[in-house]
Amino acid sequence: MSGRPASPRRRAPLFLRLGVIAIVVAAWELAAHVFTHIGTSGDPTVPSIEFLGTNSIRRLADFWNGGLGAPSPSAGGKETYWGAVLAVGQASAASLERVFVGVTIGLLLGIVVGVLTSTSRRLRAIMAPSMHFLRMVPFLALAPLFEVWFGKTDLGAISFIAYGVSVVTFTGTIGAVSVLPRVFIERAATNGASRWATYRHVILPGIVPAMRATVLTALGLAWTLDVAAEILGTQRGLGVMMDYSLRFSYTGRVIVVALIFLFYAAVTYYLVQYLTAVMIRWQPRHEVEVSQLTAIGGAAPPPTA
Amino acid sequence: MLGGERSDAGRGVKQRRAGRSRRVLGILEMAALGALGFGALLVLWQYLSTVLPPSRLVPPSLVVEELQQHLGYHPAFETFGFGHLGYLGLLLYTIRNVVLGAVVGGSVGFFAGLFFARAPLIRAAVEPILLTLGTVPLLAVMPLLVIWFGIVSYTQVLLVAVYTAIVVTQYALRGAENLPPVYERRARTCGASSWTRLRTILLPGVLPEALAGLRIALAFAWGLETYAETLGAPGGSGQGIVILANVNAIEGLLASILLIGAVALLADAILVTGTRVVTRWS
Amino acid sequence: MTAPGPPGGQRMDPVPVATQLEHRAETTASAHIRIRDARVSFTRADGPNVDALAGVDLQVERGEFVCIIGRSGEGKTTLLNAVAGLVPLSGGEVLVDDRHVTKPGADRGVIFQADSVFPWMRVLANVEFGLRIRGIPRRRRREVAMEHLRQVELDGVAHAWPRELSGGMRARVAVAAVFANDPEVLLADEPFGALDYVTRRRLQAVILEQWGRTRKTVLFVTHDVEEALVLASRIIVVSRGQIVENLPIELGRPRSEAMLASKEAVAIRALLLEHLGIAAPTTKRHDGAPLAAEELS
Repeated sequence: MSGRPASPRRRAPLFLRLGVIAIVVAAWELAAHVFTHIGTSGDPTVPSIEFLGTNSIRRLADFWNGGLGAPSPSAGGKETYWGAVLAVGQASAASLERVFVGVTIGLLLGIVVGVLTSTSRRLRAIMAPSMHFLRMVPFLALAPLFEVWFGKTDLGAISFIAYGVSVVTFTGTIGAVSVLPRVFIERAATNGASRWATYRHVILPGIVPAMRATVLTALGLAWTLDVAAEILGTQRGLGVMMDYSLRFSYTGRVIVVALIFLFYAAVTYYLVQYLTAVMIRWQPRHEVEVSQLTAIGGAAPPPTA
Repeated sequence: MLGGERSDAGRGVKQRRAGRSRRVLGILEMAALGALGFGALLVLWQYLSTVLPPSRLVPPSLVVEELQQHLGYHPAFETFGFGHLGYLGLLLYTIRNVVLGAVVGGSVGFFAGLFFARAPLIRAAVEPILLTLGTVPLLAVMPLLVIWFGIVSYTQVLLVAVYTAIVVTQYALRGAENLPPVYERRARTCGASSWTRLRTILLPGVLPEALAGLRIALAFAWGLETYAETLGAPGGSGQGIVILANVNAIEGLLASILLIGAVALLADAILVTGTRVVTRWS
Repeated sequence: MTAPGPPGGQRMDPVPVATQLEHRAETTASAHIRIRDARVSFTRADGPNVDALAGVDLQVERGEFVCIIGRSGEGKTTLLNAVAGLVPLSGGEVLVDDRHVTKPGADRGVIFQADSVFPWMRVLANVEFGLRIRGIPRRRRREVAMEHLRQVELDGVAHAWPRELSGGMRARVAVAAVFANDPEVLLADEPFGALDYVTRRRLQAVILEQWGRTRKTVLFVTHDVEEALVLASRIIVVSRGQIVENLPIELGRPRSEAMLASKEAVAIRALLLEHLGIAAPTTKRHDGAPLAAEELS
């Protein structure tokens, strides 16, 4: 392995990290006050934090159709913060549900096909070029295609997400099974285990740590694909807000919705990371740190040759 | 005893030849199986194109035909203002942007990774920001870039460059950390200048990892570029896709996508070979 | 070292693998393991064909503890794997209880060289694994597993994760797991190779104790001549894919240090070391008689 032990992850002091965030925010505010140009929509091209927090957020209430204590602006009612919260909540539920369903389908498909393919060298040879090709066709480039196929429907977005997730998961599963020490599978065989028993007791539990990185990558990709679909326009969810705001160049609202997406992507990522930590508590003490490189890449790590 | 040795040697040569032919057969078998699998995919496509309406899917032959016909010129592209060009013309724009962005981003990432390896405090402060960045904010900022800068090409290059830089930084950082410090110490005691040290030790040591990161970044960069073009660009396959989707030319849509996929595959293969060549020095 | 034989007090019936008991009674005359002209060859990555086993003939009687020694890469592990069914034969046959061996099975338990304890199962679940595969109900397999853990003195860590255990403890878990499943034949591939001397001696005692209790047929591969002398009732030397020595060891049990230092033991050791290419040629046979002139080469 490496020539020296991995240096301990130095957590920067809290004030330093907050300081960096403060610098970024300050830089933004500076830009907002320097570039004071107002766009055709009435929104400033670079909206200040104040503008985002007041006008942009409140205007999101436009998407609320009344009820639960908030008036419906489209029916002539006032735009309220509460209304905005409800609108965002309703839209978020739709987006979150889409991502959840897409990820689940994609993971199941990828893992099942991946595990079954791993068992035979011949099967792997059969699948290899096709999967490599599918992997190389960029997912984002397919967004318009899925829109032509499914229209701007939930099914389309879910299929899009499921496709990307399954391709990435398949590759990750093949990789995870290939690094599982052969001795475990041999041991199962010398205990008379059938193929299914080996999957159930050895392969599936054994690949969990390696799969964790893949799952987190897939989650990052799922949000990326969802945002891509929502920008193009969807029937439900945050994409409706995004699409509308883009159409009329409401810069402020575009930024707010983008930040909401970012928030959800980050929260679900850390949530999954935390929850799956339980599943790997049996892992021996060397580096358990999940590679977040792959999460950024949005592409699967190259399978081990 | 002597006779035994001679027959041993003779057997060795024959075994080696037999072994080689057996190995070649093995590779051929794997390749054949792969071709079989790919062929099955094409057959599936063909079948689906017969059960689905032509507005959704056309058979592979039509896609190839479309590509051949309109490689140099597609009337729709001219109608929408891109001049007298076809798939190839638009593709060249995409390739130019991706290559430019990847090279710039890769270089920045390489040196940033080296820098962060030496400045752990700065790295610890900035890294969480870089990590949470991921691809979602890049997606989210794309439409904003169009609003702010209009239909220009440098926003796409910027996107690809930023993304590539982030990924390559991480990989270069990892490569720099894994480099045994003794190499550099030795070079320093030998009196080597910073530039020489960089050239002979850091570069070959960190380059393989950085190139691995570049490969990963590049794979996704094609998608970023194409999608960004879709949202608004003065050229590129992404714009072609938007036009073709508007006129419901599904064969054109599929042709564009496959073309990009092929280019991505080729670029990946080139990068892999290039990496192998470069790392052979080290 | 504890004396072999059934322990006093409560005796646990080993859970029998489904075998034909009648068959056993009938064929007391035939060997438990019969290997006839076994050949294993495969193509190396760089081309040449390798004869890992070049025609091996061997018979192992029921209850024997056979140690297989030899130089690295000359076939001893391949021989074991052939009996285990983990590697296909290119020629010849391997018979266990007159049944052809084609694939692995619960009748031939294996203690592997690499760490084979499943890290995702607690210690108890690891020992229960074979029983669980066979469908033994939970309570019964828990009893059996706990008993075997007790025998290797690990009942205290039954609910620990394998990563909390030392290498030596994990090796004991592996031994317990294999014996808990009560295979007819026990195959061990240098199971204690990675461990320190003291741990190795302790584990040798554990294996001998288990063997004495159950009188299984054991094939034990080792690179350590001393280990072979401590454990074996017969020592096989494999060289270049063939058996070059087949030596019954009549040193009596339990093997005290005195026995291991006896003249007989010294002669055996010398002969084995010579086969391994370490010592100078002897001029005496293992039973002490001088070698005839023609035998010196």
